[in-house]
Amino acid sequence: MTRSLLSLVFVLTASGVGTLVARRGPDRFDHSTHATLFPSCVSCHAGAVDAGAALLPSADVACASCHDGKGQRLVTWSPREGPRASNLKFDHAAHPKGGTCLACHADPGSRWMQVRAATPQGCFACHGLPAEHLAQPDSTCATCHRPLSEAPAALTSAQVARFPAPPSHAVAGFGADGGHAAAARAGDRSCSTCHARDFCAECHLDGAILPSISALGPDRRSLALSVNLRGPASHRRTDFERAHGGQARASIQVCATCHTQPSCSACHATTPRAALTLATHDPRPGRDGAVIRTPPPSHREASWASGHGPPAAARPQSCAACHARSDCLDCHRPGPAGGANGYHPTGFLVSHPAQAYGRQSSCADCHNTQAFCQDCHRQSGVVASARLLGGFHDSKQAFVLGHGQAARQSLESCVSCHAERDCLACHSATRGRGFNPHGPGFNADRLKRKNPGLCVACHATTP
Amino acid sequence: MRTRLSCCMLMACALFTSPVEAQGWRVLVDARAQATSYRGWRVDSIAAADTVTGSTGGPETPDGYVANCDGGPICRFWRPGAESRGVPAVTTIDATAWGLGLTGLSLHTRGRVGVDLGRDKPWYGPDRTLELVEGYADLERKRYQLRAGRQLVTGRLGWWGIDGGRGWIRSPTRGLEASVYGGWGLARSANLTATSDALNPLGDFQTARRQWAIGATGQWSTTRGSLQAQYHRETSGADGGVTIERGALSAEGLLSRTVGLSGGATYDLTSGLWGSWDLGGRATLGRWHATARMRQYRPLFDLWSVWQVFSPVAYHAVDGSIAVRLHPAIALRATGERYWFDPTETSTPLVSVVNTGWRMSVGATWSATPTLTLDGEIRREFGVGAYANSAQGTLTWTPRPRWLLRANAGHLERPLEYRYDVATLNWLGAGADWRADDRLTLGLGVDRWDETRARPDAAAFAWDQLRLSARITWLLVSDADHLPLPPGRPRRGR
Repeated sequence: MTRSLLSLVFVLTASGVGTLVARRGPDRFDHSTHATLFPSCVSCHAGAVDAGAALLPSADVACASCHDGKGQRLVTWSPREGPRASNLKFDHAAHPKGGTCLACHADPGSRWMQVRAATPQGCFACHGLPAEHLAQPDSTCATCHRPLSEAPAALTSAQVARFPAPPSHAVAGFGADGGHAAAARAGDRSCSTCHARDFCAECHLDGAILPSISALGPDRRSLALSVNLRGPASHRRTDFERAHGGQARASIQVCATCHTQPSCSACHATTPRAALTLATHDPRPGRDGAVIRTPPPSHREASWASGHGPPAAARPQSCAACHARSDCLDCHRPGPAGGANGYHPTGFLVSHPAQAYGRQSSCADCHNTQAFCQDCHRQSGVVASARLLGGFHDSKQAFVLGHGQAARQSLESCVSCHAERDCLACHSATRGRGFNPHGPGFNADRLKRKNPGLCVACHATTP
Repeated sequence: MRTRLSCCMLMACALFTSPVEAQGWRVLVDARAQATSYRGWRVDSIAAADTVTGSTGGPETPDGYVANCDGGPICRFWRPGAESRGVPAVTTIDATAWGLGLTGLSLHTRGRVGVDLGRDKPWYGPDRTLELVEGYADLERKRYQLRAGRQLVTGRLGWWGIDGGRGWIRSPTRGLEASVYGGWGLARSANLTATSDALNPLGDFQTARRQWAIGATGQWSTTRGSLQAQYHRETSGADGGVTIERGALSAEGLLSRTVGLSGGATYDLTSGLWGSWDLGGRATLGRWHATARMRQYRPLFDLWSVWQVFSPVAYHAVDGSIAVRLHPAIALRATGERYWFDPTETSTPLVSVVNTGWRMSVGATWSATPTLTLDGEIRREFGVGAYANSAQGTLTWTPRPRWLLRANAGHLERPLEYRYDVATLNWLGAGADWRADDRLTLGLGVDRWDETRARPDAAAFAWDQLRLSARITWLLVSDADHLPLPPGRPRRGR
């Protein structure tokens, strides 16, 4: 029952809306309804054959003769004033007067006064051009159209926004890769049919000095055309960050299309020489060929933080292009109040023993073993006291007696809690138990030659 | 002395009274403070006769701490230390001045002032209250460059600080550059001299005199590759013995537009051993990015200490990573590493230690909207000394261009191989950065760690922590760096 009621309500509502829509009637003069009243077109559209007459009839004269409010209801229709809302150059007077109006304004076989607006296809058929409107060569637009900047004010921005784009504009490479530039430089005025200087200047920061753009007239309506402009294909190549410097030096004018100096300084710590020929700034907000500072692919490696040393050492000037020295010093000379989210991830304090043992990265590259590791361990109570007894390393029974392997594998970790005297208590030739600490790779002669004082620490004299 | 002072004053007067054109400066002030509290350990002892047998069958103190007696009359154990609270506040000032009347002359300094506002001063000692990271005058011309003062020499061998001078000559057209430097050396990875008390926390051997440092670098660069060589030597100011003498080579090359190689090696001339070396490649193919690397790491100790004669062995590893952007908003990544140590030639019948390990991670980043990003990662590693398993996630949100909010959370298990306990850690953090304008940034953060230790005695105390941090970064500039640019293109018709 409920469903039936809902259905009834829906049907009634739909029919009511449909009735309202139907009663609004056409906006234009309904020629078909008046088919029996008018024997010829020029009785109302005298301007089609007489250049001095009006193309559209006057409402108070042409309509009011019947629609006087007595026999027929009054109508409020009024003819368009001024030129049509179009940039079409068509002129009735320039066409042969011998032709019939229906040749252009009605479909073949139509009844009398069953008319419509002329279509471009009608023009092409008559002029022997077989192609569809937008498939005509771009260079022929100006044959029938005048530049947008010369179009009457009746042509609104909303109408311009509905201009169809020709197929050529969808061809790969037409956009930011320069295809449209070649067409513009060809010298014809076809681009101006839909575009004006304002449109080009949206992207071309150097538009004012480009002949093909400065030749266009200004017209704000051209901004109604939307363009989804992507960066050139070259910018999407994986080696662009590395290669763009050479490209800029070779042809900075190409860069100047979209970029000013702030584009370069978004990343470069110093202004590159090639960039000095770019404009310093675009006064309009949000321009300058905005560059979002994104790291190159190598920086997005999961292990980049711990692995950037080798490439940075081999080519430091590459880093200096984007990084100031203070960027490096923030990590390589850290302060103790940096907070929890610096180079190391949150929670690193508790996980650092494992990573230090495992040598994932070299702690000593940024931290002084004594001033940093030992000092903190001492304050935490994790230090030895010159007399090595078991206790701390309590998961290994007799660890002291078998610590050699662990020590040679992770000596830096040992040093973070132990001082030399802890080890020399046993590993000294003179004051210890004489356990030999020297292992694989030890070269006594070489060390003695370089620093004989080192040997004296354990041997009293150079051995 | 008085004559020297007079000369300096005259030079200063001459500099600051002469006409100076287009003088510019840039000062970056970064002030940060962090409040934290934690409880450390304290070693204690007890007579063996006073211990009791604990739940594990071994000796324990009467209040439940496992004691280690080693068969002696005195046993040791660790009990919780006093709670330590610190509020280190550090201000870093990075200043540059140029346009001093001599083309190419500039002055640079980066200094740090630190104090601890807490009651225990766990970080700052008198030697670290004022640190000069760098402070030098630089004269740069097209074919040569001179630098004098405290400076850092960077390269394959690391970051070495010297108080001295350095000079470069270069041929930009040929891509060649060479430099030599010399002066008094600074301690490794520190802004302190080797004689600083802050470098001797355990009160062991320390030199009374600074070391001399000399070195040289050479580099050749082309568009397809780069090669750099470096030599560094330091000698003791006390007895003239060599404390550091190392050389290094670094290279990078492009095999194609998408494939590159880099690598290098260091050689320790004092011990005659190869230090660290690596050879790796990286490739980008469309949405994919991959790396592979072989490497060796061998710790090299300065000969201020005796550590080098304990013969630390080399660590070898092969690692790789792969990342793919499945969708403009979704990126996946994975890393893996297998490593092993050289034979140590030690006889350890009582203690066996593994000498291989591995680690891996997988992660994903989802840019849900242009302003909202979620990142998650799972890590596992097992190796020498310890293992760790963790999962963590981070959310960053920029609700407005000047705001950056972040929240992060994670979970970690970290047993230590040499230590009889397993730590489980959960953490949660949040922070906010507000960029007032291009020159002023304020930040706040709060992080909480909750740790649980699986240990069968009273020594199962944890390092729970609460950290509060705040920072302010303020860039002061004269805008002079914008003035020397040549005029831009005329913008007619606009």
